[in-house]
Amino acid sequence: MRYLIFLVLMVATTACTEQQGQTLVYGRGGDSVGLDPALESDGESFKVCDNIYETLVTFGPETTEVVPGLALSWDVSEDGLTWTFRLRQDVLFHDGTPFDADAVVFSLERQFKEDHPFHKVEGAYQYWASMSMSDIVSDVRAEGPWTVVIHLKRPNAPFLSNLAMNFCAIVSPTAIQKWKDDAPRHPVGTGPFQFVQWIKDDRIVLERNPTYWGETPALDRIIFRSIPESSVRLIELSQGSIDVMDNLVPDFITHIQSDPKLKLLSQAGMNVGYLAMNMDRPPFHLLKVRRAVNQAINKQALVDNLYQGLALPAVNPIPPTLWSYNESVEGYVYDPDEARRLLAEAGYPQGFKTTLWAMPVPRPYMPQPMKIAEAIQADLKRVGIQAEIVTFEWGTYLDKVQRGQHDMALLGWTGDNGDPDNFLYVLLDKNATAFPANNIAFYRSGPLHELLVDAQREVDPERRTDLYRKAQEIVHEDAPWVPLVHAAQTAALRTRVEGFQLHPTGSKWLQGVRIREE
Amino acid sequence: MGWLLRRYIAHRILLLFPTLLGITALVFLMVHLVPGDPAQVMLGERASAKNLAKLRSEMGLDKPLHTQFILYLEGLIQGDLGRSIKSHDRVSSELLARFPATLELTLAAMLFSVVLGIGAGVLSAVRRGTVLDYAGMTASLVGVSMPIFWLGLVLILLLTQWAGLFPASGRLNSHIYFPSVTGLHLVDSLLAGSLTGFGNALWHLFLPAITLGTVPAAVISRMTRSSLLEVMQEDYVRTARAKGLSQGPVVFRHALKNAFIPVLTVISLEFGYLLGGAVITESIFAWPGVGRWLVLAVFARDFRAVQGGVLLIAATFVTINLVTDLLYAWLDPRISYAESAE
Repeated sequence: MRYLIFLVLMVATTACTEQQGQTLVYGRGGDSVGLDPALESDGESFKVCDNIYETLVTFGPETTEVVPGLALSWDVSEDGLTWTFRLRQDVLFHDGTPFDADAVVFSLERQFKEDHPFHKVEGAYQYWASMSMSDIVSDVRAEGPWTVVIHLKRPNAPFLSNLAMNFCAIVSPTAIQKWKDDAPRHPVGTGPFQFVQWIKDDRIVLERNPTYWGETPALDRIIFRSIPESSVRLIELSQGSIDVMDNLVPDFITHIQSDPKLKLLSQAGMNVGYLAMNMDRPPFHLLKVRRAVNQAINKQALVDNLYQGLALPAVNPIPPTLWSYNESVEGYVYDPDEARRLLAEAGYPQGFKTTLWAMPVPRPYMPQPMKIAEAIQADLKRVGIQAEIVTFEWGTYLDKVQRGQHDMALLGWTGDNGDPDNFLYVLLDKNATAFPANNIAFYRSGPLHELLVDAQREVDPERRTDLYRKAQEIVHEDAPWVPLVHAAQTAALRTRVEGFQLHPTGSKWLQGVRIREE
Repeated sequence: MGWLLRRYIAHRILLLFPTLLGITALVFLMVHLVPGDPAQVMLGERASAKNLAKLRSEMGLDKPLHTQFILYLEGLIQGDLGRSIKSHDRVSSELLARFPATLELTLAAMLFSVVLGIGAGVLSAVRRGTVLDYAGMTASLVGVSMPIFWLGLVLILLLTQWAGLFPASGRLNSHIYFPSVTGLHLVDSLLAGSLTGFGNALWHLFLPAITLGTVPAAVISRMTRSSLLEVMQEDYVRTARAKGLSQGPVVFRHALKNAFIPVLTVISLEFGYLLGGAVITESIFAWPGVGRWLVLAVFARDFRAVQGGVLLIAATFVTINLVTDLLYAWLDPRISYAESAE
């Protein structure tokens, strides 16, 4: 036994000293599900896809404004129906296949053309469906090797932002034809890193793409490790066996800040957690009641106590990282006296009884929904509203709120494409009240609908910005929700890691990262 | 005796099928009767009526339950566990990729608990009533009462965070590579002739195996002690002593073998505990095994994965029970299979 321990310790010490140059070890809570960007729907898959694949257009650093990617430039016809993209001509896929217009047509067409040989696959093109792309896109055509023309069924400005999302990334047609149903385990793109190895639930290894068209990445290798237990992840980070971890638990913040070898990044996330008041049910059809609820809830206390400061109190339905965010809207101030006065004016001087629905599971925008519900319950009680907390198993919960069976319900949204349309139209337009409703306040505003539809048709970014700013004012006036918080996205890293940036969309592009000698 | 034993084995193997069928039916019902539509859970906030219907029909959820069960059994007979709803990969290949990790961890934990448990149990029995006995039995009481989750984190905190002796998680350092043949890193590294790999894998195995093996070690030591004490009262032990044999041969040659049957029962039952405990241990130590995969599958309502995983674990457990029963015969010739086979 003594010899065994000796042997182990000896091997351990030799194993520890080896360290290879530019390898970034990224510790995360779970493994990717698959690596075909069009088939996946989870963040852990996209995190890896971000570095393997590229899209026609992409997002600028720290904004959700759209900039050129694999397309050098594009223009839109007068009627907003024909989009022409001119492609880069110096790009190769990792398997040597040249990138051209045919690859773009292949990557997009397989997701909606029912007679496409790769339309029927194991799994489903979920994001194409959930972004309603089949209602927007009529066809995708190659005009010569370096031009792609996309025809739309109706003018739709957010469409351009959709093209920057992972599901529209360009995949190597050769690789998909070769691997077929196993393609999600053998990803081939044009990105700065290429796929090497995947040990399920353990690690995914990428290495630098030697033929990358853009600036050569500094990292030789990226290893994505899955470490489910967050406290173990933190220990690995403090020991230096991983370089980055994301999705921090608020309790870790002080530990990270006190360690000189670690640094903390945080940024308002592209999400919103809200309390929806069902306007189909009295007394929430009354504006004064809805405003009273808005003034009765202490959002700052929620942020301080239940998010440990890692969130922003929300004023508008969209987070401040999105373009067109209207900072001139002044949120409802926490004021229980004013709330009581409004309730009395609305005819409820003694308050009323109601139900408050809360999710049974943590969500990215609301890690502790039950505790949030309890805090809101206490706030409401102070102004005379007796809210009983109701919950169901998660699937049932969604089904019931989407049918409008609640009085008040907690829910939230994580943005997809960084376009305000993806929050305002999806969550608050009157068209979103049919089952399964995303507009669970059942808020039906004609003026808002007109603005949102105009903004979809408008191509000019400045005019769209104006429309969305106006839309936020209307929502504020009508108060169908209590916008609660925008949960922060966080990451902790070793100080030796340079150039690592959080992006509002949650994407993790690592080509600009380098590791300094420690 | 020979053909009786063979008949008994055949009989037991035949009995495996109805047992496994029962387990299959039970698991199938369990995953299909819990509230919550898997399609709804998968789509979350983004569910639309069209997507829901499409996903349900893709997963076969629009068919009646008994049709779904028959389809599942048909696949099962052909060795097809279906495809995971989440990853769309074959459940069988998902399991194959992860089972070796669980097996390696479970066997290491078993080894740890058997060596420690029997050792401590024998020592306590032989030194009955001494400080050593009390210390051993107190330690085992603490051992059985310790939640795995807590123990794992404490070990990481003490031995990794403070002492820096062991890695906190994973199976191998990120720069070490050898080809995977069996999936058992200890075996594969030796096959590849990589001593560094072997040492690194062993080094990673230490904490999870201790975490997982502690409770069984405690149970085994208590059972060994009481069983051995009972046997030590027997006449043949007194006879052996009267012959002038010293303590060592009396305990190891005469008493322990006879005391071993109840211990063996406990060990085989603890194996089931280990497979269950692996679920938690694997999550703490980021061990890419079946247990952790199963937990994630449950959360994602990936019912095909859950069915496949539970079936594999159940089959392993049933097989271990069978092997144990056969070991009884080897250990104790007095056990006859004549009656039990009828």
